[in-house]
Amino acid sequence: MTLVVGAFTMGLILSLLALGMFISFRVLRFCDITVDGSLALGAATTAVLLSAGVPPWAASLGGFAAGFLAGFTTGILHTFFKVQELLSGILVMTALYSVNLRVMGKSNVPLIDTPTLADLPEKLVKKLAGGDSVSIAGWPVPARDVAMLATVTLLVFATALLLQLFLKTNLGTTMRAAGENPQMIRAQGVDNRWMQVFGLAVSNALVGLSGAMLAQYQGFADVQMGIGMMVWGLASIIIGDALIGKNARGTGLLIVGAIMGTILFRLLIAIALRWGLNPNDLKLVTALFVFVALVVPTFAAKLGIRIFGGRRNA
Amino acid sequence: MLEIRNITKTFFPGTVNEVRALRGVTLTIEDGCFAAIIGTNGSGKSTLLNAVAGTFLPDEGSVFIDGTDITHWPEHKRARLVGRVFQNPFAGTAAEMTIAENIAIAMKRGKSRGVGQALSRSVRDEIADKVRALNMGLENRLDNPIGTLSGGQRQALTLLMATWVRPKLLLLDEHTAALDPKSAAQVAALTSEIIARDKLTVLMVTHSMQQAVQMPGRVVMMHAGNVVEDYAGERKKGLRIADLMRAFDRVRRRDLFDAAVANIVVPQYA
Amino acid sequence: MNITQKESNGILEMGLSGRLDAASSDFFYNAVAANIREGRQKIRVDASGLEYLSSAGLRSLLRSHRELSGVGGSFAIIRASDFVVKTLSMSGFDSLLALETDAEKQAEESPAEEGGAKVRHEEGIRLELYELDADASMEAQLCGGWKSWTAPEEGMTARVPLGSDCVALGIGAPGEDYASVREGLGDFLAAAGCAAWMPPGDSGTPDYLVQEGRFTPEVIALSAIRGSGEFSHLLRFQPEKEGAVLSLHALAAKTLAATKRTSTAFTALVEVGGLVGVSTIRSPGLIADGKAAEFPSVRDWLSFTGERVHEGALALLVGFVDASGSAANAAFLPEPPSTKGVRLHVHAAVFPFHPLANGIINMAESVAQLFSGAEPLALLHLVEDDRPTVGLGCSTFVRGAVWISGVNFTKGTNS
Repeated sequence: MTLVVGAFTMGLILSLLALGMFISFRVLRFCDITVDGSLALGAATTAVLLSAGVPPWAASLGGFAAGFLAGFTTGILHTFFKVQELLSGILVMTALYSVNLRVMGKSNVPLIDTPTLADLPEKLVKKLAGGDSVSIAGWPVPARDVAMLATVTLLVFATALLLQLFLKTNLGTTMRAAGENPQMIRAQGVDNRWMQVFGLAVSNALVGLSGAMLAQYQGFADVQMGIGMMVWGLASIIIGDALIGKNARGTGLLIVGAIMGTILFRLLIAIALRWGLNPNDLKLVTALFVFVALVVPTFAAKLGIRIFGGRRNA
Repeated sequence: MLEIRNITKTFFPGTVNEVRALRGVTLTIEDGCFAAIIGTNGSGKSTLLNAVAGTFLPDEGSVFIDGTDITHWPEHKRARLVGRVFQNPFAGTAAEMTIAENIAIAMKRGKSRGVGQALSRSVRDEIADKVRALNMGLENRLDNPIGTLSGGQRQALTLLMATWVRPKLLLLDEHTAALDPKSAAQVAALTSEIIARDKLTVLMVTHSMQQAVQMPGRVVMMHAGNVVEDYAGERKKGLRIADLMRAFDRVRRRDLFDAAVANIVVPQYA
Repeated sequence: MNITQKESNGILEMGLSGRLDAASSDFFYNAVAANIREGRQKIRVDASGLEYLSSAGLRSLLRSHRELSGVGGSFAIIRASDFVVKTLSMSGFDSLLALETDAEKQAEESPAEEGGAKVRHEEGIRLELYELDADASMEAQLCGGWKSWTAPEEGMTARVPLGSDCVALGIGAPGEDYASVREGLGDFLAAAGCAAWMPPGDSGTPDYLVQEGRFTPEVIALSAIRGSGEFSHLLRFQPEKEGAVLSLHALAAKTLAATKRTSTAFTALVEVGGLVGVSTIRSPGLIADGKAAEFPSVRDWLSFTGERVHEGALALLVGFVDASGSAANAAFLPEPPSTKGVRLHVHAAVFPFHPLANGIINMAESVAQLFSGAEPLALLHLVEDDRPTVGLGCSTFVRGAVWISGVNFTKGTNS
């Protein structure tokens, strides 16, 4: 049971990453590679702030803000300096590796005995359960794990709701249109470049937040922890699309799909690891999965999988 | 009122592909005037429209709308004053977003866009009313993605969007050229109707001589980056397609009449 | 339906098989029209293979009949089966039916028509030269004192009447006096009382006047050549090989050869192979200085066809040829780059094509018929373009009739 709770928690944390990538890949149709760097940046910033005694909510917000800045930089590089989409992401991602080392001062910051966002819920759970563990379906699960799961669930739920509401606002619809048809949005009096910068910033802010939660959950921040995260996020989105079907168009469904996809993906990985998959091969397997989904369009069509939301005009 | 003063634009200057697309075009479109630009391929008619829309900055010259110098305004800033419909029905709308969402974006043209709800009750009603007036039955499909509509329907909606907030200038870039004949006629009729109703100032690029003769109050003919004919007022009223054909023929012949021809021909003309 | 053709003794027999109805009537009529254009003007339709004849088919038969009557040819239906005879007589078209013997009789008569013609075959072209009146000649007045491309003055102009007794060409316009035509001067030509001229400006189409009753067309001209008198010869030509054409320069040479004179006048009705020419687009009356002839400003005054134009149309040509070397005529007769010593001034009025009768035809009647039909499409001053490689050469003609006469040039008086 601990395994399932772990997978769910991990899945929910990473679904913040998936929601961030949903904004860049689906809404803006921007292939953003910054993600690998901004996840580690969010984790590093939060870890350092926590170590410095900053309260967990402020430290998490710090991770969010750090991610925002990273995405902002990528956006500026692409729009105002006309660096290619992929290259601007790669540049920022690479730079962030050094930045992260600078932030942490070393390659790894352990978080032992530092408070986390789950502390308050943990007390609550312990009070309710009357002990250090909770019985779920007859299995004892540590109260700390349950508290973490609850915290993350709440966070993801709130984020998803805010995102959905945002996409229905004037600014949100404009951003969606900017991603799909920049020419149209310019003709409607909007500088599509700022839409892109803003969207990328929010996208990476969510990734940074995901990193912040990951650091608190795992108990450490590592400069390497972002590697391959983009592909994982992509795999999650692909699975999510397969889950909700290809005819789903509403943003709400797509958001739910991204979250469900991430959780399912984590479960699949947990099961695979349990069955003896070498953890070192995990990224290879993930990459292969995404490769197949990208390269075999008929396969993709049958599953109703889309990588980008559709054609981007002009 | 639109004033184009001595605009020049050369693409790929100094290369073998150099194109002198606009060679000092000066044109004034009075308030409430519906002007069409016709011309051969490569005559610079679309380039001129793009120069007004701000797709690129001209090499020389300036553009004024109602006395405001907009020469150095970026495209999106000009959109506060200018409504546009493109040739490609896909270019003016976001295909995966709904009809209502697309229109809601257009309703905010030139205004600030906050985090207020895009499709409030009142906005939806307003949209439904105007869409119903198109008589295309689209008012029942407001929540369908606009990409599911035909080219003609999309172009009609783009036209509605471009004129929802009354533009100081409406730019139509061969907006019926990509449609089947029946849809093209429908969109052309809708165009004339909206322009007449709102008394808009319009610059339309068209390759259809029939449209040029029927729709606007003024026809400007371009050739090789210059304005070569300007049919306005009484001269436009008597304009027939045959006159335009002859005018095209005239400018084409003028092109073929080079210095070598002059050397040979002039002594033979006694 | 299917059409087979065989020609014997100048009579073309078109064998029809299948159905002549709305679907095939245009196909049939176009085949007849093509034959008429190529000079096959005695046509018999062998209706023995015809299975069905509809009203549309009847109409195409009647149209063919009318077209051929118009050019002095003949059209008849032979070997008609019973139902065809019945259909024709019921609809009152039985005059189209001909007896076999009738056709044979005509066939015997036909060779006689070539009597009097000297027939030659040159480079795929069949030329027939008829002598109309060996003694006939023309007097040509050189009118107007304008020197090309200079600023004209009032005293330079001449009043040129264009009655049925003359052929003429030049630069001018109909009007009361010079002041009234100064801004509207253009190229003109006239023959048999019919005048066409090209007003400068937007319209791009020629205007025309026809002599009627007491009205005689007249122009105020800056410069004109007006020839009066009778024609001595008629030259008919048509291709025998696909694509063979007669060039303007060859035509000019033939007029000199036919009359054995050094100066000729000619009027022609020809099917165009391609015209190369210029026309005024701005009245020369507005020329204020000597710069009008300079490039590029000359483009504001003169329009060049730029390519061979009006292929397949019918052109009325009026031309004067001078190989005498006389310097006095030089101002009126420019020298094309490639015809050493032969000066040439030819204007062409272009009309939609219609066929001409074979053999000897009357110039005045043919021209009058032309002007009473469709309106002229264009009027050009023909030139030669001898630019290396890209040059268009001179105008060419496919077939037609050329009325020729020797001519004496005299200096006319100014008005």
